[in-house]
Amino acid sequence: MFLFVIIPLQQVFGQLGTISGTVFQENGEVVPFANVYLSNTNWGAASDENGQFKINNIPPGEYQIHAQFIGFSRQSKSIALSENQNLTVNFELKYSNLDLEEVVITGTMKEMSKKNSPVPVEVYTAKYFANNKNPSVFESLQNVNGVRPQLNCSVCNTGDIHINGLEGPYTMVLIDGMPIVSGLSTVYGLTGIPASLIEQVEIVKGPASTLYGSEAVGGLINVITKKPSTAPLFSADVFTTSWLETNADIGAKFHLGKKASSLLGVNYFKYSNPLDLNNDGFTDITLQDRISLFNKISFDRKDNRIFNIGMRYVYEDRWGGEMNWRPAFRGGDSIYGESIYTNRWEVFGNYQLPIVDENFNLQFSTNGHHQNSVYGTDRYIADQRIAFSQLTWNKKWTPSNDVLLGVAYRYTYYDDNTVATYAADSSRNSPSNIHLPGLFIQDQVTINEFNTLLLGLRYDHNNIHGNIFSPRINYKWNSKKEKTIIRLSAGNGFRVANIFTEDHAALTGAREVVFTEKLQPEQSVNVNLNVVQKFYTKNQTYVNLDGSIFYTFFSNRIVPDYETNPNQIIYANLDGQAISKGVSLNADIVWHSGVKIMGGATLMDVTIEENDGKQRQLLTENFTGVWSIEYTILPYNLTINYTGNVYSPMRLPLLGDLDNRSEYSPWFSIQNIQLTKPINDQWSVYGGVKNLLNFTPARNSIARSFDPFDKNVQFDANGNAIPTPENPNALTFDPSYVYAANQGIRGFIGIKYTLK
Amino acid sequence: MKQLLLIFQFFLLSLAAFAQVDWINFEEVTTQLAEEKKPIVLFIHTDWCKICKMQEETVFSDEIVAKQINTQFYALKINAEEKQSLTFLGRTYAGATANRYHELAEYLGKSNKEFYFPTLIILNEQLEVVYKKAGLVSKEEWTEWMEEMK
Repeated sequence: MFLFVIIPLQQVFGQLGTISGTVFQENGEVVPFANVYLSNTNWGAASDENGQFKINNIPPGEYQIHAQFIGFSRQSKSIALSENQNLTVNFELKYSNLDLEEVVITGTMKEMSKKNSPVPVEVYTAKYFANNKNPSVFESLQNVNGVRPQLNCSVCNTGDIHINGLEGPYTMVLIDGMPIVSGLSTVYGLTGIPASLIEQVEIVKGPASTLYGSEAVGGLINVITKKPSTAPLFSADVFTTSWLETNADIGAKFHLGKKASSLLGVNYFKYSNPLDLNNDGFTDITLQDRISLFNKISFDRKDNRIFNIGMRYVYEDRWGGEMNWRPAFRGGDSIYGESIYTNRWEVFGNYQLPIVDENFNLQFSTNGHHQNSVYGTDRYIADQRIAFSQLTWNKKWTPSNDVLLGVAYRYTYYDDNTVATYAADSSRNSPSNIHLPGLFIQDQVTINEFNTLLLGLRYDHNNIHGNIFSPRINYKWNSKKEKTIIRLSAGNGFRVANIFTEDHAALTGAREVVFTEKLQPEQSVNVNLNVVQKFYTKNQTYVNLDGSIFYTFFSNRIVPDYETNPNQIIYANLDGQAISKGVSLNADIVWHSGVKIMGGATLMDVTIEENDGKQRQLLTENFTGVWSIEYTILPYNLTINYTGNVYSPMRLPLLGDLDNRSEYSPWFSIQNIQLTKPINDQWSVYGGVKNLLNFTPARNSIARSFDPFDKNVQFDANGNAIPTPENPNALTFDPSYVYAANQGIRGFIGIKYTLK
Repeated sequence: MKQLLLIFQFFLLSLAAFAQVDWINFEEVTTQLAEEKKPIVLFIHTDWCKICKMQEETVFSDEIVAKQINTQFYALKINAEEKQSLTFLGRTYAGATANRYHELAEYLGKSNKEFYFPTLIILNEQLEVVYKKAGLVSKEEWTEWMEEMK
């Protein structure tokens, strides 16, 4: 074929020339297989593995010669070739970091953003949470098996996160792996992270790495924000419900000079439409006005080293109470209201030290939390400041030993207006100062292709409670193709409880808080066995089963006693044992047709055993189930999500033997349906119905809501309410009987804009 | 319980015939291409991505598909969260950090500034991208491509 072409060319142009040369790249090395060609002709060649190319039989003339290759920018040169010339042209190609511009086919069966770690990590993508839109990560966690956002107060609706039956303080919240070390409510770590900036949420149930201290025995929630390189330039997402709860999320990406990029997020949530559908005289859910700002700056450094700084600020004003409450009644005894102003700021970061060939990371986190709250006539004004820093050194000592060494230091300042921060003689205020230096070492041993072992040991010194040792062990076995994975984790926990910052009930003022002794730190031992099995069928269906058995044994557990005296909460270290144990199973099924089903169930038993017998922990269910079903109707590109959960009865705190309210909550289920329809690349709309079954808790959940200041209650000499014709059940006002949000069926609609 | 076991057995029995793609190392590609020119299949995944697993275990494990890939292509696979740098066709790409995915995976895999998993790319013998899909490539789709590439 070529011969036919060449012969006539020679006749027309005379003597033909040759172009040869080498294709180099920026660093001086050669580029193999690069395409070199002359524009507007068919002449060209590819460089060989040494980067050299040669184009023969070129007629004399002027040409544009180009070299281009995947991974590099195209380089063009003008050349003039004379008769019979052997011209040398070298190229030096620059790296290209632009997207390849070819046409991409985008299917529906894809994911945007389980680690290979011996610690079982569950990864939930932002997409998963978008299946049931909620104002914050806190509410979104209701769709995760074994995790329950628990409301602690039916008036002010504050809550905490229970993982496998363990309360909020046992859970550590991190943003991008940077700990938001927090005493005052773990919840604020999870509200006010704009959903638009979340890439995924990783959840560890049971003892996580020793890296996270001795408190994270219940689990770990790590919110991973979007990577600057793939985050959209701008996004806005606004939705409102038929209760007029409005949520707005705005995310933006900026370049700060050439070396840094910034992700900015703003979240605003407002609910200002008091409703009393159950006619108890109280707001059904708490009115809220919350703004949070989030900013993460990532610096581009030499050799890909990390330097990120994050900042977050949350301001919230919430109140609940009698329908005619106004801020003017705050703290008074005429109209009951609970009002909380929260101001919280955080700065956290991660800096990799510029040491060649070594991986040293400095993490820091500092936050301030100021809470000004009023529960009826009781004031709780608290101030907390935490500074945390840790330096880690990660090194592969041998190919199979990946060692992490670290030193950490945490300082906590806490002051409030309660007796908790009074000096021993109660004469003066004495804020608490806790210094907690620590050391830890962990070794990830890759025994072979199938077995991995993670060993950890941590030592902390608490300036009040002394030495704390916490060993951890995690073991993983996997089958050849990782279709079966077995993980076993064990560890212990150590926690110094701060009743006022953690237990909301202590603050409601409805009950008097009594300490019968100086509280000792709680200690726990936790074991967790996790088995994952994957199946693939011939008709291209994927099934993932993930089962766990967990067991936690507590000694010195701090248990609030609501039952000895209905007007008191008595805090004491348990003189017995508390055990939380259970099994959970998650199933994930994905059909080739695009139907995705995720379901999970947890069966657990959380008991407290003292000399007078065994009892179930209050406000803790025995069974929970969650599910999420997704289907996209392709011709319309309409996605339907049906999500829900179901809870078995929980034992509830009653006010004495005469209390006529049910001791157990009913079985209940919250189910939601959502439709999402993209209009074009930038806009999409969604809407649906929340709480389809219209479940609400019992109308009499708030005891004596008509007499919130107990003005018509008669008490005996011991302070116990006595039955009277007006108060036959000897009740007092009490909002702590709460197990679900008092919010029935409602519709919602939202719109999302994304500029990539 | 018995029913559950039956369901398990059903899944086990319905597993596809065992076949697998022989993934090669990125470093090897240059030498192998020097010996014989062949198109390249590049599969971008992460270790938590279910659809990626589906792709591997229900499509790439199919006897016909695996055979086609193994005989007609050089098959490459990259975990977008791999921290080690990699050299591919002369250029060294940095590993993943907290701020971005593996440079090679992002460079080749991003589609319209977003990154989906899995992403499958085919480079022709001239090493130009001729096909790229974000999302599962079913057996039927793969067969269509193979027809088109002929």
